[in-house]
Amino acid sequence: MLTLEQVTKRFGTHTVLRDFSLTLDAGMIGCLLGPSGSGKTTVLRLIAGFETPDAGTITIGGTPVADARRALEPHRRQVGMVFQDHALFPHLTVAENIAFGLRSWHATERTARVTALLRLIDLDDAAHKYPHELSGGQQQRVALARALAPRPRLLLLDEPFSNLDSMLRERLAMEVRRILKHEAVTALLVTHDPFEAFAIADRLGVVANGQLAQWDTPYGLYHQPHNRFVAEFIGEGAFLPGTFEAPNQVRTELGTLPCQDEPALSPGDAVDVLLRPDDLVHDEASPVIARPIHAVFRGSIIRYTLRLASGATVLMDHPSHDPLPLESAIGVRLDTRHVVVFRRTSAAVEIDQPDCGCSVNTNQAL
Amino acid sequence: MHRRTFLTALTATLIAAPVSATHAAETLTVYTSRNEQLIQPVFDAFTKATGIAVRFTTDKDGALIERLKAEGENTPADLLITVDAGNLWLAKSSGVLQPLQSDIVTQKIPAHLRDADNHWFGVSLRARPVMRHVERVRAEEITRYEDLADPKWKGRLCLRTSKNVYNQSLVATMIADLGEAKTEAIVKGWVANLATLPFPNDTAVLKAIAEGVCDVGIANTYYLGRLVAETPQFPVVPVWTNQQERGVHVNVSGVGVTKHAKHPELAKRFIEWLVTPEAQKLFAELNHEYPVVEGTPVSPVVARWGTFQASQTPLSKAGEWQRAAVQLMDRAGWR
Amino acid sequence: MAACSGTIDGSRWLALIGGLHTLKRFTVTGTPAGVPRFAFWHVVVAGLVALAAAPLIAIVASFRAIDSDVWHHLTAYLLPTQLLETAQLLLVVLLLAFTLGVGLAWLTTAYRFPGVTLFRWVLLLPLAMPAYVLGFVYLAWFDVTGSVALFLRRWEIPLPQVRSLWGAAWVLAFALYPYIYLAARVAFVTTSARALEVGQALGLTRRQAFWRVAVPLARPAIVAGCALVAFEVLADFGVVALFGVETLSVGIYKAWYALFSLSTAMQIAALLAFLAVLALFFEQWARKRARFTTTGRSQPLTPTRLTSFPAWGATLLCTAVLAVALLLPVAQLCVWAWTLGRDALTSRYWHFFANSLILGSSGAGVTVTLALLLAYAQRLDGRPIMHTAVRIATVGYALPGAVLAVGVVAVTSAVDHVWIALGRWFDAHWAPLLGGTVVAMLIAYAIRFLVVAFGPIQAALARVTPRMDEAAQSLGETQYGILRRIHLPLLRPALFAAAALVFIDILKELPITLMTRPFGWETLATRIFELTNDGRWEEAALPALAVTLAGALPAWFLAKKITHPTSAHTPETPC
Repeated sequence: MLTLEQVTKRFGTHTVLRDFSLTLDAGMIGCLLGPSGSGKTTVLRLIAGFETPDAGTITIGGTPVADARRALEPHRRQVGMVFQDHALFPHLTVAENIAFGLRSWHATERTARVTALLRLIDLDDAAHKYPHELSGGQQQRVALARALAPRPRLLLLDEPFSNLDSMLRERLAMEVRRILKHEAVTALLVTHDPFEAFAIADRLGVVANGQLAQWDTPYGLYHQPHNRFVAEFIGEGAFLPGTFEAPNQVRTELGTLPCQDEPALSPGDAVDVLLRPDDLVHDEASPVIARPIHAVFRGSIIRYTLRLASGATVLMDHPSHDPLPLESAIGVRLDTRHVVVFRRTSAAVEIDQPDCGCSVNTNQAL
Repeated sequence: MHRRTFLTALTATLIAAPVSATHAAETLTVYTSRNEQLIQPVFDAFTKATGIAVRFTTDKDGALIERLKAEGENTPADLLITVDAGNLWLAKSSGVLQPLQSDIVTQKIPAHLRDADNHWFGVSLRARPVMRHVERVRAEEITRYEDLADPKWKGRLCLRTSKNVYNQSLVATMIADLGEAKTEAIVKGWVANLATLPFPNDTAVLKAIAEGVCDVGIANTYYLGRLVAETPQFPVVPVWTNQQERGVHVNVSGVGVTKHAKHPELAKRFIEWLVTPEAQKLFAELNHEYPVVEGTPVSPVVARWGTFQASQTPLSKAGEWQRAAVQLMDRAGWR
Repeated sequence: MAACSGTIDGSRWLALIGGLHTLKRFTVTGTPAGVPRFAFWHVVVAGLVALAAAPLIAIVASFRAIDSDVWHHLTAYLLPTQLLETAQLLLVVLLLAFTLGVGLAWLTTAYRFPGVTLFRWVLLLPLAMPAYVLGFVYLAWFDVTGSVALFLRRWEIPLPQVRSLWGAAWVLAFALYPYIYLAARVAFVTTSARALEVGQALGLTRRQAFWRVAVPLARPAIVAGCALVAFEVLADFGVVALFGVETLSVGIYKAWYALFSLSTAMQIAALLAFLAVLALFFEQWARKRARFTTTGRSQPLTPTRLTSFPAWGATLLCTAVLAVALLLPVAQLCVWAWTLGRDALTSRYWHFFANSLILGSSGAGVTVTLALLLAYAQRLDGRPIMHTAVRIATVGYALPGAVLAVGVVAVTSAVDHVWIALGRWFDAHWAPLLGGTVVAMLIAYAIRFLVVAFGPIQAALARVTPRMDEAAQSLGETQYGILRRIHLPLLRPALFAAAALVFIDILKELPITLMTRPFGWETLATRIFELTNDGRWEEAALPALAVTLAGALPAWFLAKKITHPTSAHTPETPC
């Protein structure tokens, strides 16, 4: 449905995107994650036609819409867009905003479409209100309905939830997913919040320094990050020092773990093992002793920061019914289905040249 | 936003532009600083007498002269009318006037009231004498402009601002007659005698005398004429100054043919008409002024003040010395 | 967050202003980086700046000839006083007008008291009264022979000298405060109540919140209003001449009319314009780093209801200001008009009235259109050179009207010389193209009042975020559609406000009208001139009243636009 091939975009001397490639299948909801300034919004603006690429090709539904020489004007692309600030037209009512792109439609169809969308976004009775009379979440839904109304071939969402309360975000993200799936629209959104992305997307990618670091399912991205940057950007965790041992093992103070053979690593190399908070469990029978030094209540679980004998710290989630006393010695063991290992580098995280990790795919159930 | 009005105006303009240029051959075009209420009746009478139509525009003297300079040979104006001799002199030296050869006019208008090269002609006369309160100051107490510098008038004198062209012309002709040093001493004396800040206009000076703010002042006769016409018992009268010597300072409202006049013959007819008794009477009476042509009767209000000996100093001196006069007044601290 | 001030695709703006059919080359928007994209806009701005600067050229050209005699005299006797008194007058007027304008704006926005809805718009009306008319009325009362002064003299109550800097400042402040009042009220009405609440939550009293939150937030608007007032004061000749204040504009007229040195007059004018521009640059520099748009959802301020003593005090205060600035002077004008001008009120007054309205509205139309172009261009290209260009294009307001008028006539005459010479070359007799036409007049008005229209339009345009354009584009809307369906509706209140202000200014304008009007185009303002120039101030009451009346309608309209801040038109999320 949407293909970006080797797209490069420069602003002045600053290269924002470099040989950026991406494919999104019809009906899928894709999501670009990345820190601010990573160029992810530029990707959307290139697809929408607000910017033109310096190199590469953008194809929507099999038709090229932009390359280095030619670009279809934004209003001819049939690409809807939802903006971070919603950009609702303040002088139009909710219904008029939604109907904005339906100018060429027959009046009865237009009314029907607007009514249907109002129902879909659950704002039936707000049709005649003005944007400023709505809450942030409601404005967001109107912006979504407005973009969906002309049945675009592709919908782009730029940080659609960033202006909303965090409590609202995840709920609204699921709501948006429901609406997008109901409309069977192909969508690409941009966010810096991984959990928002998990809630809504079928496919995710992390944009870093103008390139797509990994394009994967939420599970793959979380548990099998291709590089240290993705690992750090997506979710919490800790890197535990270890040593690579041929043929398929890595040794850490928590024990020796199985891992795929990796040609880039040779036995004896110092590595870091990515441990997510759910990779450790409390087990008094375990010989490995750790001390909880910090606890954060997270509702159903408590996230503990544990200090190991070597002084290294790791994270562990534990049910909140069963609090563990701080500073007491407890037994822990690893419960991993996949081990992600990176070559130990200096403190700085190099993301341009991803290390090759090794991983074991024991289970990939979603 | 007013789009329709705007378009209408624009269209009207585009149509009007060529029309205004192709006006009837028998139309005289005048730039005048003599204001509408004082000049319109004159033009009406001229049109009635001659059948020649007149169109005119008003502005300040300086602006009109600049406009003539900028428009050059494309100016629509045939005539320039101003209310002060200094500005007529400026118009001449700016090269926007041309001489008019007319024996009728040169015979009727005294030489000192017109340009030596006949570039301009004074057509009505106004005196700028000392004014006194009719009771508080006796007639014999003051006879000359110079007397106002006497310390006995300390705190009893009212003057109009030195920014006014009539005061500038007065001081300029004094410089021409008495020399700069003597004039400066006199003007400094005036400033020292001021009862209050100089006023923005002559009417205020006259009212100040009437209300007892001060006892003497200097003002044009027609302002007094207007006040007397309104209030016959207005308690201020003119003092015909310097009668034994140079005479009272007078100024003119004057007229000149523009250098690039399209209808010089109409302009000539107008000026020749202006010196007829009928026109002289009308022109002067409209503003309680004096006619320039001997033997023309004056308005009753003006007649009450009697006759006087007017200065014979050529009025072109008012222009020649104006700059020096202004600088002198600034030096003397006359605001 | 994407920057609001980012440049916008040139194609859209090109399409906006008429050039809808030249879009073809932009259908393909792939312009190589580094090539300037907005050539069209550079041409527009260059054209406008050239137009506005043309009369200034005459001023700059004046420097070819320095009249050392006049300059020597000026520097020795006049300029030191004039610089000092200009600065003093400016300071006093600004202080007083600021207090009146901001204070009344706050009072009528943040509080409810008897008559507040009426005061909100009536307080704008003094805008319609020419300052020199107000000045004359005050002299007729309080000068040594004034009616009030004479009355008091009977009781031996001395009155201070009103013909002074203080008197002039009083009159100018009451005549000009509506500019600040208008700007401040628009700002206060759109100020989010949240910002004030935050201030109060941080322990500020409501009064402190006003000084430390509301005023700083409204600063750009208030500064814009103060700038208009300052420019008016610098350019004023009528009031200062009446009150005997020696300002630079008096020096300009003296050099020209009394010392017969127009070039020196223009050189002083250049100095004046330079000072004005410098002051504006300084202000811009001072607030460069601050941002004044409120963030988040804006919640209009809920006025606090005043009761008993404070309520009546507020009503009394507003009434007093109105009485001083409008009611009593108008009453006096009515008396004069009745006793002296009754006979003058003939059918030709309809003609004067109509001419004033036509010139005012078409002048407003032209000025607003040019200001809109300039504002769009500046929005497109935010480089410093653009700001400088805009400054140059809008400096005309600080010049005394007569000086600008001379510049305009010099330029139109030059054009006509070329035009007529061209006609002669074709053996034809062509009428002047500009001189003596309404077109020349409208251009001159536009140059003079561009800055008046530019302010509100620029402010409104800043609120239409580029995001909205993009949203419309992504919904399949064309360039022209965006202009028609988004920009015009959003800018409409500002366009009307700008037009109303310019309309009122043109009604009162004198030197340009006098010098450029076609034969027979007499207006209410030229009527005032005919009478006042001849010393018949009281008789000028009739046209002065008519001007006030004609200006009251747009003033009422202006006030209505902000009294009901159709918040529907206020974009919510200024970024």
